[in-house]
Amino acid sequence: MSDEARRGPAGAAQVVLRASSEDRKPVGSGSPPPAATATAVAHKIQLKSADMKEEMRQEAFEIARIAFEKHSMEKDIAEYIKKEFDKNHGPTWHCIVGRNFGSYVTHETNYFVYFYIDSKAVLLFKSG
Amino acid sequence: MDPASEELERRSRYLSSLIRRTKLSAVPAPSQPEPEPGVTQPTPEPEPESAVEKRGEAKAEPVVDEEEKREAKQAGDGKGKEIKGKDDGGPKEDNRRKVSVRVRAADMPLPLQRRAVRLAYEAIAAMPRLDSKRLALALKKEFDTAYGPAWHCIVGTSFGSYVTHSLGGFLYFSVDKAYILLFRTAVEPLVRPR
Repeated sequence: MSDEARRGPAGAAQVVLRASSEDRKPVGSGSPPPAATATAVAHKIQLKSADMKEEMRQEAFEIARIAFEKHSMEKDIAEYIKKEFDKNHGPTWHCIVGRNFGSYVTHETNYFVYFYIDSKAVLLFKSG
Repeated sequence: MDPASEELERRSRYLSSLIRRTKLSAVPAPSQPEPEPGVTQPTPEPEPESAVEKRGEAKAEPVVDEEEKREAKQAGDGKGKEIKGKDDGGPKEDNRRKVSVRVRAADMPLPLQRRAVRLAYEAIAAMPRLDSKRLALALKKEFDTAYGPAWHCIVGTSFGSYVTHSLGGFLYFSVDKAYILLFRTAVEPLVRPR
């Protein structure tokens, strides 16, 4: 028995990411190879999938930008984002950050977002 | 608090026994080593980092939540796997390759761990190329059905995570080059509609 509201007909959010050859970079690299299109200040964000209101979505993007500025390790970025959302919007949030992963999760209604920031995917959702 | 210290002690003993069993179960994994083909790609073994932080918040359910940090990285080629090894044997054994299985971190009863590892192992063996999404779906569905909601599964070769899970509902393991994070969160009935 599950009273939890779910997204999508299958009852779960589906997120999948395939890394392309262009995206492959060493973690914590000193300098990005092609500096032509990439701006060092602003991180490019592409929204892929969301069940989240615009305001909260924008907050997620902003917090992710800050996290990427502060940290270079994926787990630290995920930790920063999750803790900010636990603090701002109450527990319990979960965050996955990475270059190559697929996922299948159950989330509360209106609390799911999946986006790219530069070449990495960020999955943030509330459950529990 | 007495219950908290008891819980901590019990879990500590459980984890200790788990480490020993993990080492034992890890031995028979490469039961039939095959000669490595010349096309083997040497990839450095990733070093996952973990930290456990317990929260003392009281909830309606007697379920204690923990925050765990998990990260898996793999340098070099992060793309999907390719089947290695030639079909030099008979038609009975086609493309058997050595697949390593390793439990990296766990807070989960052993029967559930075995079930997850077995399912993942068989699924990956059946996939010519790692299908992260399909494997995540299969694992989540099986555990939701068998043990009740809500389970979440992440499968990939390169990701970091930070999640909060229910007591006894966390498993992080690797099968060949795939890293699998499976965890459970408490499900609370909706009191008021939003």
